[in-house]
Amino acid sequence: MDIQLKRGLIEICVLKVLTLSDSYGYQIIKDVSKCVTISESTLYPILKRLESNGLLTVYSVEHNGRLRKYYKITQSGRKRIEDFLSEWQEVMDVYNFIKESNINE
Amino acid sequence: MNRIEFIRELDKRFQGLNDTEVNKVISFYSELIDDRIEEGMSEQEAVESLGDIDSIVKDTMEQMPLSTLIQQKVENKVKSKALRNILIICGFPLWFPLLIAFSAIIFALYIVLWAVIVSFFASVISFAAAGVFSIIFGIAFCFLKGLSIGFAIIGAGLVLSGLFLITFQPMILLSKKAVVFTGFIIKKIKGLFIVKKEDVE
Repeated sequence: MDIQLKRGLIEICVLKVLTLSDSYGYQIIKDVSKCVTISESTLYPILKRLESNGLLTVYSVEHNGRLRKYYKITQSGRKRIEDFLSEWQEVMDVYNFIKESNINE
Repeated sequence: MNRIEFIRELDKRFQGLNDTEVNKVISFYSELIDDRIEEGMSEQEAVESLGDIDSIVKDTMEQMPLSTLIQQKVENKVKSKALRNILIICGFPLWFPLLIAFSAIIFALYIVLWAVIVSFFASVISFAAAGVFSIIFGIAFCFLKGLSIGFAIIGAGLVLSGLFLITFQPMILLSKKAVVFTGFIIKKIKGLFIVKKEDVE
């Protein structure tokens, strides 16, 4: 898959995972992996970019004597998900159209 | 590699970069290691699961602006801050023109690429315009000067319109490739500045 496209998709998956609940690095990787293959080195830059674009915020929580970073989705983040869904509705329509035509032949 | 070695290696590769940034990256990966150990992995396994250091460093650095990377390369070569500042000031007549030249070349190449695209676009659009006008004038000539001349000009107009239709699609494709190519070149330039294993003693 095109790298830029994949990166964009992973970003949306991360945001979606955060709508269910605030989460931390390792948990996010596990949850997103259910949907699309992601490696640790790709997640960090993505989280960083989402943060600098204001789509999520970070806070620390103490856990077993160390500090764990939790990520929380923002209002802009939720809006981004909605935009994605409406943009891709059209893609889905085209996909379905193409799939159907093949079956008829 | 165990955890301490891993962190030390990351620290080396990110040397010269903004301390806050470096700490953020290191604590991110530290956390991942800790979480995996908590789940039962051994320290070695946890570190290995992060993937190879070169990819981590590369992916993280690619997101940083070019200026930060250049700064880091410079700072790695000359360690003493005082000496570095003296060199920067004294060397100004040397590096500044070089920087201007380098930026100018990159900028010029960029302009050339887009000038080519724009001129292709101009040709394509002019095919369309010439085609349309020829057809219109051809029709007018039919009434003014005679059918044969009129038809000849209309014919020319159709040929030009055809040329427009043929070249339009490739034109769009070419512009998209140019955009992708530009992004690719920027990535390569950043790649020149990313600290590799050989650079770090």
